[in-house]
Formats: sequence, C-alpha cells, structure tokens
Amino acid sequence: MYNETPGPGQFAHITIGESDALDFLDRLATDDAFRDEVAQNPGGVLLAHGIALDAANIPETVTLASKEEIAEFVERERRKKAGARNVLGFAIFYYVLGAMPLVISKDDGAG
Amino acid sequence: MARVRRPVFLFFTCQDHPFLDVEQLLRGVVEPAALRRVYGLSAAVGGAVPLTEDELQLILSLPSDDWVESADPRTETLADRGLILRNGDDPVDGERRRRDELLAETGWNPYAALFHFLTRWQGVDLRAWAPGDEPPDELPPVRREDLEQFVAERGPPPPAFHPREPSGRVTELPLVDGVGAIFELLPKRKTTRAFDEGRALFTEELSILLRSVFGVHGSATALPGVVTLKRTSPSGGGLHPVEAYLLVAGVDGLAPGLYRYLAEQHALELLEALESSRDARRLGTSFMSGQTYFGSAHVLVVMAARFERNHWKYNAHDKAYPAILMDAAHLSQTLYLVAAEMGLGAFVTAAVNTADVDERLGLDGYREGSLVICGFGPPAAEPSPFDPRFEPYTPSR
Repeated sequence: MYNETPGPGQFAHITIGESDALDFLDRLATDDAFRDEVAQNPGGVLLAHGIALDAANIPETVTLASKEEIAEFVERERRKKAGARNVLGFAIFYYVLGAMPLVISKDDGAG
Repeated sequence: MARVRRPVFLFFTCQDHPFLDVEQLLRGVVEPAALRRVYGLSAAVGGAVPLTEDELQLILSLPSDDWVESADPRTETLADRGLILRNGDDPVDGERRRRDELLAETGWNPYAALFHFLTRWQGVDLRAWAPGDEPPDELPPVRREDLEQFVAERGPPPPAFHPREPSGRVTELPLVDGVGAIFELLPKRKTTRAFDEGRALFTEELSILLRSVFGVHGSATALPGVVTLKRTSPSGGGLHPVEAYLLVAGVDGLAPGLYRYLAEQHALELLEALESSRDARRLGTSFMSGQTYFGSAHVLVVMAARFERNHWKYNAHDKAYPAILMDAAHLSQTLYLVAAEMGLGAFVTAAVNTADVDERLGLDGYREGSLVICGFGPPAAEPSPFDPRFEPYTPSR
C-alpha cells in the first residue's frame, strides 16, 4: 500500500498532459512489453512521453514499481475524476430542476 | 529572425494533477507526486495551453508593448500555440495580433475578457453524453435512478430555503395579493420546452413581441452623436448594447433563415436564408448545444452584445461585463412576460455554443458577440417531460 499523502509537486521538464499522464501510468500497470522498454531505456522512453529526467536521477538498474500498486493508484484517481465529472449530471439537472444543463465541455487539460 | 511580443491579454494559472514521482517509480516505489502544471490562458486564443517552467520564464522576459527580435527556437513553438505574438505574414499570427489589439482598443476589462473568452463553447452537444452507443436525435428523459445516483455521489443540494442561525425578531408580512394586470401575468411566466410545430407563429405576433422587448420606445440626444435609447428593459448606462439576431423556423409569411432585428426601423434584415424549417430547427439545436426540447421553438433570438458600445462609457471597467449580462437577463424576463401575455411559450438558455453562433452570424466576438439564446412560439398542448411539475406554494407560518 502506497502513501496516499501527495509529496511535493513535480514541475520542471515534464510536459505530459493530464489525461496522457494517467494513460502512461496505465500502460505501466498493464503492458509488460512497455515496462521492459522503460526498464531498458528509461531516459529515452520517458522523454518520448514528455517526461525529461536528469541522467543523474535515473538509477543504473531500473526496478519498476509493481503493476498492482500502479493500477491501484490509476483506478483511484480515475474514480475520483469520474465522480467530479458525472456524465449523467447534465441530463439530471435539466430534467429535475429545469435549469441550464450541467455539462462539461471538451477537457482542455486545465482541470 | 522573428519579431515577437507577449500578448497583453495573457494570464497564467497553476494546477496540480494526480501523478507519481517518476524517479521513485524507477526505484520500485509508488509515491504520489502531483503533476504541477502552469497553463497560459490567452483571451485571443481562448484555451488553456500547458507550459514548462522554461517557457514561462521566456514569456515573462518579453515586453507586451514592443516587438523584439528573438532567435530562441522556443519562441516559435510558443507562437504556434498562441502564447507569444509573432509579427509576420502568417494569417493565423495576424489574426491573433488583431484580436489582442482589438481587446485593448474596444475597452475590455482584462478579467472580463479572461472569463468571457475562456468560457465560450464550440461544438458542445449534450446528446454525446446521453446513454447508448450512438448520440440520439432527441434527448431522452432521465430516469429517477439516475437522479438517485447523482445525489448519492454529490449528496443533497443546499436547501431551497436559506436557513440561518436565529439572530433576530421575525416580522411576518401581510399576505396581500396585488390587483392589476401585471399581478395576473407574473404567475404565468414559465419556461416552455415543447412547442406546437403544427401551427405557425403569425408575423403580427412576431412583430408585437419584438417591438415590446427589443424595440425602441424613446430616445434622448445628450450631444450630437450621443444618443440614449429607451427600451422596456433597463440597461447599464442607458446604452442598450444587446442586439437581437433571429433564427426563424416557423413564422407564417417569413422564410426560414437568420435575420437581424433592426430596432431603428422595426424591421428584419435577412442575413442567411435556410432551406427549410427543419434545417432552421436543426441549426438552432446545434446552437443550443443539442437541447432538442428547445430546438422546436418557432423563433430563436440570439442576444449579442455590442461590447464596444458599453465599453465606450465603461472602458476596462470592473462592472461592465456583469452589467451587460444583466441587460441580457432583463430582456429575457421581459420576453417571458410578453410571451406569457400573448399565450406563447418562451425560454432562455445560456448553454450556447457562442463561438459557433458568432461565426455563423459573422460576429467577430470582440466588438460584438453572442451571449444567450431565447426562444418563443405557440406551445404544444402537452407539457414536455423535462418540465418540473410545480405545486402552488403559500408561505409557511
């Protein structure tokens, strides 16, 4: 079980988008071939996904976190996101309250 | 070498998104660490664009009031994304420069511009969210269990009546009914979501409603060229910057199409003819983000504000934009009341693809842009399944 208290934020040299970030983790949780690619060439594969790490911070021997732990994180975050943006919400509000529909426009990544 | 500058109407926001500490991930540890992202928000582009720390620093190093030469290759990618303005021949660059300059020239308050241009909709269609594999032609009624699921996830809403801690003596007011036509009319005001497509609206009905709501009933000239108009609704500064554009679908003697109401002459100017009522209703539904229950109206009125007329007096003013929105709200209420008096149904909606509407009407969005849509016409005999079922209410004592 991982620590659910978020650590300090990461900012510099990461350009991966919000939805791509979870997709990236999802692949690490499910795709063995992709995990092998990351283990063999972490700097190159991460850079291709918009995550630039200093070479000094990449371990000589990569030991990726377990698929189960990563999957648990991804599932939890996706569930939270789905709860915040209930796709049924738009329909319910125009029906019950007769007011402007609740609808989320195309996700622009800005939350 | 490119000549570039920072847009005047550019803002930044910082947000955290869920992610894992990547360095720890490579060491076998799952450690949440927010993906902290800065976004550039450009009123001239209308979207949120992610930025790296280096890119942010580069933008901040540029002036907004002068063009400077830059050989930094990052300026090209930033200009491509609209966060830096580039002084070249590219038409997209030119349009972004024009918009940024126009925002200043037409007196937009920066925060109002941020809100207005970052909340415009384009291509939103509620039907895409409807259950099922394919978007339906008509929005389906919603089941009770969907509401129960929604409430289960969000909890109940704050109560309808605003509770406060008992803090003072309560004085009950006499329950006296007003006497006169207005008091009989007010309870009839309602939102209509089903219209009688089998009966056309008469041109006379259209004329009465337009003149009553959007017509001019008085004018005053303070100085040559400085004219104040009087409508049946109030307007901030007496400027009446809200114009009426019509999408006609079912009016006897008036071809389906897009029209502009000319208040000066009480006349309609055809902007674009449409093939049929069906095409008009389909276009109206797309304007209103797929709200098919409103799409059956005989006439839609796009309320579009001439921002620069309001901004002539309220230049870059904090309260200019709320005053414009209030103008549109007053007009919609007057339209509701006039429609009720005439036995017509009416509605107003802010769930509008305003970017699409502006483009179709040929509005540049900066000098003049759409805000909300009202609609009206003969109501259907049966209410819409989307209508709330109101019971009479008497104040509790």
